[in-house]
Amino acid sequence: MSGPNRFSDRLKIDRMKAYTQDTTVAEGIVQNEAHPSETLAEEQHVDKKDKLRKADPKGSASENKNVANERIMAYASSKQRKVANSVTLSSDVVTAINQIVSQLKEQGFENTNKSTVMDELLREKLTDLGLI
Amino acid sequence: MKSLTIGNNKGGVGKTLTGFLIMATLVKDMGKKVLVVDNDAQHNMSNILTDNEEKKGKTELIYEQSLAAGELICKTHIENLDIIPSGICLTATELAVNTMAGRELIMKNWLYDNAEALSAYDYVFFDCNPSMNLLNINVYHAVDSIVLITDVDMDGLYGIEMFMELYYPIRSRLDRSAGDNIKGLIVNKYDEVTKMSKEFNEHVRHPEFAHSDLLFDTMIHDAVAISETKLTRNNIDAKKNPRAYGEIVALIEEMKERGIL
Repeated sequence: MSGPNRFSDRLKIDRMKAYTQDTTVAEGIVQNEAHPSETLAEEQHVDKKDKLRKADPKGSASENKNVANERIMAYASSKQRKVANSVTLSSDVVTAINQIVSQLKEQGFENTNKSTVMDELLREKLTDLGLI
Repeated sequence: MKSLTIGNNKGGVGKTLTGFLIMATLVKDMGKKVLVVDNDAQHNMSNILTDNEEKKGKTELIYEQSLAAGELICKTHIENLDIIPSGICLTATELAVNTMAGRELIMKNWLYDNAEALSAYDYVFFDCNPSMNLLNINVYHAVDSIVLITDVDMDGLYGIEMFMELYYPIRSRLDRSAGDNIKGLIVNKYDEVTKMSKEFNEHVRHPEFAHSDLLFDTMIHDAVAISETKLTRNNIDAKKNPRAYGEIVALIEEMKERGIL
């Protein structure tokens, strides 16, 4: 099934609001579908589910505990649960950064400390995009 | 003996009925012996498994007097499926135990003290109401496994989130060394014909859904055959309702894979 999903839209928005205090996510940042973190999230999901299936409560206690305890640690710690892989940059920002890096390479900044220049250019670009 | 419960902070998602169907199937078709402890003052599970008002109102004696299992267990009309029934008086029990030192550990200690008697059972299943009250905290912290359940509804998902947000800090405070005992998530009242169900399924199976790893592959379809079991006080008839029965069996197999059963 493709197309908009009312559950995902509703819950993603609510989740983003809940995470504002604990992350640096600005409002309006959405998942980039082409971002490799989605693939990574899928791989981690398959891995976690597989480990849950194979978990033996009586054996391999330390390994099973490590997998199973991720969730309890995330909720029980003073910070809220991790956002992990759900926060990515929009395609506009990714494109902008890539353009800036290309410009810097053309200007011969490839092998120098370009952080200050990068900061300035990034700030300019993100301001133009209305993201900061 | 393994202990388990089915939970969600949202009511009406199918905790009691799904629990009954799983336990009845284990007993009638898989040769197991099960004890159900009704931890809910509404005593819906007790209503299914007993029809004698005098028998009800035993669970509170666990909390208030720590009576031995042998003094509390009642037979039901289903062989090898026994119950410690509850009654309306359980509502007052929370007040009674509120001032006890170690109040969250009463059920854990009772399981420990009665280990020998309870070893006669393959499973002890606790039926809880939809809240994180003191009596439920006792059960959630005491059992080997918690299986969450949701119906196809936003509020069901919120209920799960609320459950975790409330439960995990409590669990961590009560015992730092205790691991996560939430081991599964059942989708109940699914109807593949509706767009809403399809969207729900797509949403919860997406890796971005925080608890997609807990999901069982088997989903319980919304079926009259399931609701009718409250009236018949018996398991689903496998011949008349093969799909509904098959889903319960498949769910049991998945729970076995995860060591819950």
